[in-house]
Amino acid sequence: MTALVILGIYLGLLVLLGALAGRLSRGTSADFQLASHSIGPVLLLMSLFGTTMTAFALVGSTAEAYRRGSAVYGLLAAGSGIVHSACFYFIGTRLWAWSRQHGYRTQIEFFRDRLQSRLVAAVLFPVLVGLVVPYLLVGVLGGGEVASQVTAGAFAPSGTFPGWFAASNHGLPRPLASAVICLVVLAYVFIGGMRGTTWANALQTLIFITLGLVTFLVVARGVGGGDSLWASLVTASAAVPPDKLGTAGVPKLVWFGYLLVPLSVGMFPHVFQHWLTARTAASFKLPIVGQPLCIAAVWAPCVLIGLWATTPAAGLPTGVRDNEILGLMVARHAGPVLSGLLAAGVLAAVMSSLDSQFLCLGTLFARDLVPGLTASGRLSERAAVRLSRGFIVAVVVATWLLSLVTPTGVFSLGVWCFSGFAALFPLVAAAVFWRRLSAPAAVAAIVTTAATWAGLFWHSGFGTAKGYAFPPLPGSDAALGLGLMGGLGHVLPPLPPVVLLVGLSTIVLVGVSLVTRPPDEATLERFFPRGGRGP
Amino acid sequence: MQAPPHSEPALPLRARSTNTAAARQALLWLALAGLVLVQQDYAGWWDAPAIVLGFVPRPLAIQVGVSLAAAAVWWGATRWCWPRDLEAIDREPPGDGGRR
Repeated sequence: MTALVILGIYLGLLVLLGALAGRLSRGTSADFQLASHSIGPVLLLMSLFGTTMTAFALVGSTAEAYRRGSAVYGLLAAGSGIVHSACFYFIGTRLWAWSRQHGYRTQIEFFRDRLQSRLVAAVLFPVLVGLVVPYLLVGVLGGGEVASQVTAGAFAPSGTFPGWFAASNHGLPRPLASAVICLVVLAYVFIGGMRGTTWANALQTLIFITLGLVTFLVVARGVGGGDSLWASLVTASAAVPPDKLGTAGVPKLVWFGYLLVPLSVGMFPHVFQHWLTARTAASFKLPIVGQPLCIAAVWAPCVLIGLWATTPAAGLPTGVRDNEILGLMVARHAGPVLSGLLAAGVLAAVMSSLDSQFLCLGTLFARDLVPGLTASGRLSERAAVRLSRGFIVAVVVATWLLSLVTPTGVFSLGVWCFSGFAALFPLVAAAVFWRRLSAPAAVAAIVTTAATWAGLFWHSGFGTAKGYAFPPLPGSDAALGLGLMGGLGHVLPPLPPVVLLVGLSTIVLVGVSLVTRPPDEATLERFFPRGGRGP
Repeated sequence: MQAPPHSEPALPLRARSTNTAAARQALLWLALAGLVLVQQDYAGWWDAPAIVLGFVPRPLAIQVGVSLAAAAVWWGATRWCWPRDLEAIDREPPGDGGRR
């Protein structure tokens, strides 16, 4: 019950924070969507980092370290430290500068203007929304799972109280916990807008970094059981099976594939929106330097906890599900107060991504779809706002319903989602650095990405196939089931999906650009002035 | 019209400045390539299971080192390779940019 009360207080505080930010609102849509471009370096770092770290980083990394071993840090965290900052430095600052000059608030507005094409906008909108949904699922699943684990026993029978939720060990059932998380995030996003979201992100980033380190120390004491912290750390790691310590067995192509996954940050619509909140270009400097350090501060302890979970002293039952591992480790090795606090930390990481995604969905809808309706006089401004909020709620409800039937783990789902966004990275990189990029090429690359991603995701059993690669080996059952496509295995090695997606998207983008016309010279001059500014 | 005396060295200075900026950009790309090479473990330095510093698996220790090195490289990039046009844009008022 203690953990439940702490979680309740924390969620209430977030709604209050949103309300406070809402009172400081200037009442304009620019303030609601971009906090009037007023965010300085510290808040920008915390909001960008908080946005890019979700259940994937905490729940997913712990689970993957439990399954795969210490290689998981090298596969994703170290590469992210290099690539995220590169995206901020090379792409983010440019998009910020152009948005400041030309007044963009969404990615779609930028691409429509840069390529002078409404078709690009029409094609990109559903693809971005479609890829954000699995990202939302990562948060909804991961947050709900942890809240369910740490509240176990809160509704146990006592006296005349019959006890609820026996099926979830008398804790909050996962679907109910997920629903509560969604409702709280919706509340402070609707009340506080981007300012509330940024404040909440900053608070939550501080909380999950701090509590993540506390979790690490408490679990180390619990698993190691030594006289001192140092002795506990040494004892806990000494019991880790040797096959979890090295990285042997991870193919080089997989290492390379995981380096491409963080490119997704360059195309996340919610990260784009956070970039635009920056007060100055110089505000980017701290996030560029701080992102690798913050990633290390969160991922390294989680990977160690995942490794310790493999030891007998961790006391985990056999057959434990991936998403349960962090919650179980916290519940078993921390007291009820600390469990509640630590669960609040995990929820902080989850919600600091969900809020930005909710807000960005509303902004995309309000800026890119609704104006087409209002121009014809069919909707008032107020009705448009209501419709945008309705759109967010509809997407969140759809995500929650999907979370009831999603069979895959948080880590796998996250990698699939990021792979889709990474495949769109060549588009934004070309838009920033390549004058020759054409609108037909952009449309072709977006459609190719969407179709290939959907096909591979389906073929992988919706992300359930571990270590999925395409094309399958010639002669295998998977290859035979693909008919003519199965023959691809004769000309290509089995590739991680992200390598295939990014490669295909790049080939289509470059190939079609070379045989079609780029935007007119006047448009290009606005972005790449000769002898003047430009990337 | 005769150019003012102080304008004479402007071109060489600008050329020198451009060369310096290009050299710094090249260094940045070189450093990033080095980081990626280490991160990708092409040398196979940490295939074998081992624990260093008492409790940290060797691959984890090396990759955390890559993260720290990445922060150092990016600090250098923001210090010595920051695009000049961004500084100029910072000094300008934001444009209304024509709503699309």
